[in-house]
Amino acid sequence: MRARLARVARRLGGNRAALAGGVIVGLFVVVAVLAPLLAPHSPITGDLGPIRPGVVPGPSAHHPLGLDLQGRDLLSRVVYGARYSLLIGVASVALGVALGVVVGALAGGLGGWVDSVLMRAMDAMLAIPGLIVAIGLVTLLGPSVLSVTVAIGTGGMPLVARLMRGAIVSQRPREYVAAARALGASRARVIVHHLLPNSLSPVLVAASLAVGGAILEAAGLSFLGLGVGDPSLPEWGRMLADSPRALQSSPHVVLFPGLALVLTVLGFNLLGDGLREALDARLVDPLRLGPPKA
Amino acid sequence: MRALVLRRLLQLIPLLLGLSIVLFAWVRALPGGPATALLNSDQQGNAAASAAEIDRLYGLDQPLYRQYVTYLDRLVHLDLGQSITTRQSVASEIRRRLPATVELAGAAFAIAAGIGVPAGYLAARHRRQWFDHGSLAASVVALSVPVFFLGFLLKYLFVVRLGWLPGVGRLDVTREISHPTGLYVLDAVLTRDGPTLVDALRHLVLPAVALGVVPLAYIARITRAAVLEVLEEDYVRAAMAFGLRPLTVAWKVVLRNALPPVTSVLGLTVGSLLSGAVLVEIVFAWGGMGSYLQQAIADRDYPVLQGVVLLLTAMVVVVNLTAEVVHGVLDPRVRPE
Repeated sequence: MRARLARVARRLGGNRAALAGGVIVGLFVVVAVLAPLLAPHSPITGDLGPIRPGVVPGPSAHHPLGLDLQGRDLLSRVVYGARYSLLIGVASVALGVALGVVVGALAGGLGGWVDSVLMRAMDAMLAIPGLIVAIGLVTLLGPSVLSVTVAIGTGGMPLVARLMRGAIVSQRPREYVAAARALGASRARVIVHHLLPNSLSPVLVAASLAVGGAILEAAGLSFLGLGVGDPSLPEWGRMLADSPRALQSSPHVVLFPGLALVLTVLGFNLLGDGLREALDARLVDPLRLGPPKA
Repeated sequence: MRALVLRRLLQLIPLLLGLSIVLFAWVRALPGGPATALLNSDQQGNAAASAAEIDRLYGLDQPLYRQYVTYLDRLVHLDLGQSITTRQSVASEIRRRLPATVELAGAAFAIAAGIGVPAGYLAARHRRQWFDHGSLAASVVALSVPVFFLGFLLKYLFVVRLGWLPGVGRLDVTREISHPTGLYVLDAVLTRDGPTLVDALRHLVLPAVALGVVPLAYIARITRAAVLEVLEEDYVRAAMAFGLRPLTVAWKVVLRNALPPVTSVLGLTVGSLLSGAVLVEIVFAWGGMGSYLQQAIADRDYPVLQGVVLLLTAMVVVVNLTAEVVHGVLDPRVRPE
C-alpha cells in the first residue's frame, strides 16, 4: 500500500500540469484559512461615500482590487469568498462520495433485486440535470451553506454509485473473493474488507475531478439567487450576480471574483486529471464521468 | 428497429412514474405549501379559517394518494396552475418563452457539435502533436469557466469595448416580425426577411458561443477518446493497407465506427445545455425560461418553479431517449435481438 502511494505521488510530482494544479489549490486553501489575516478590510461592511451612479473606484493603493457596488473592499471579499467555494466544493463531494459508495457497494455487493431497485433509482436521478436537482433541493431546504452542500452532494451521488457498483462487480469474480468466502467470511465482511478497498481508485479519481464541477454548480445556484443565504456574504457566485449593473461602469467588480472562481476550478481539474493518469484509472474515462457542470 | 424504440418507450414508463412521484413529494414538501403562499399574497381575513378553506379548495384535505392521482391528471392535461404573483397560466407563459430557450440551446449545440467532433477527430489523428496538446489544454480551461462568467466576458469585450454586437434581448426592439414558430432565426428565414435574419443572428451569436464552449470541450474530448479506440483496431490498419484514400478511411471506417457511441453522449450534453441556458439567458436578458426561473426564485413563486423544473426534466428525458434511438439506428450492435 505504501509503495503504491509513493508511486502515485512520484507520478503526480512528475506531471507538470498536475503540479501546477496542486500549487493553485494549495494557494487558495492558504488564502481561505488565513482570510482574516490577509483581508485588509471588512468583507461585509463598506463605505458608500466614494460610490456615485456609474462610478465605482477601481484598483488603488488602498484597495488593491477596488471597491464593489456597495463600497466594500473587493480584495477582502474575494479572499473570504475562497472559504465558501472550497468548503462547499470539498464537503459536497465528500458527501456525494459517502452516499454513492454506500449505495454502489450495496448494489454491487448484494446483487439481485437490491441491485436493480437501487440502480434504477440512480438512473432516474441521473436523468435530471444536476443544477435542476440542486435548485429543487435548495428551494426545499432554504438557502444556506449546508443546504447548498447537501443539494450538490446528493446530485453527485448517482455517478459515484454507478462507478462503485461497476468496480465491485468487476472485482467479485476474482479468486481472492472466493478465498475469503471459503475461509468463512460473511457477505458483509467481504464487501467492507475486500471489495470496497480494492474498488476505490476510480471513485477517488471521479471525486477529485468532481470538486471543480461542484464549485461551479454552487456558484451557479448562488448566481440564480439560491446560494448561501444572506446576499451580503462574500460568495463568488453571488458577487457575479452584480454583472448586469457592473458591466458598463465597473467591470472589475465582476472580473476579480470571476477570475478567482476560474483559477480555483482549474486547479482542481488539473489535479484531478493528474490523479487519473497517476492511478492508471482508465476505468474512469470521460464518457463515464457524465456531462460537465454549468 | 421498432423493437428498440418500443423497448425504450416501455422503460420510460417506470422512469416517468418515479420522476412524477419525486416531483409530487417535492411539491408537497415545499415550505408553506400553496395555502400560506396564497394567504401571504392576499393578507386578509382570519388566517386559520382561510387556510382550511384553501386546503379544501385545492383538495389538500384529501388523502395523499388521491392528491397524487389529481396531480397526475393535471399533468396529463398540461395544467401547471397559475403564477402566484402575476396570476398568469404557467403553461401558456412557458409556451411563450420556450422557443427562446430552444433557439439558444440549439444554436449552442450546433456550435459545440460542429466544432467539437472535427476537433476531437483531428486531436486523435495527430495524437501527442501540437494540435492534440493545444486542444487538450484549451478544453481543460474551458471546462473551468462558469458559463455566466464567460457570457459576461464576451459581453464586455464585444458589446461594451468594441461595440460590434448587441448584448441584450433577441431582436432590436423597434423591429416587427411575424412569428410562425417563435424561433426568430427560423421565422426570418421562413418569411424571407433578410434584415431581420441578420439582426436575429447578431443577437444570437454571443449567448450561443458562451453556452456552447463547455459542451464543445466535452464533445471534443469524448470524440478524441472514441476515435483513438477505433484507430487501434485491425480493420483500420487493413483499410489503410488496402490503399484506400485517407479521407475515405476517415469517413467510412474511423468515424463510422467511432461516432455511434458519441451520439448517446451528445444526448447527455443537452441536460447541461439547458441548465447552462438558464444562466446564460440571465446575462443576456434573453426572454426565455432562465429569467422566468430567476424571477420565480426571487418571488418564491412555487407553481412557476414546479412548472419550469418539470418541463426541463421532461425535455432532458425525451432528448436522451431520442439520442439512444439514434445510436441504435447508427449502430446495429446495440439493438436488442
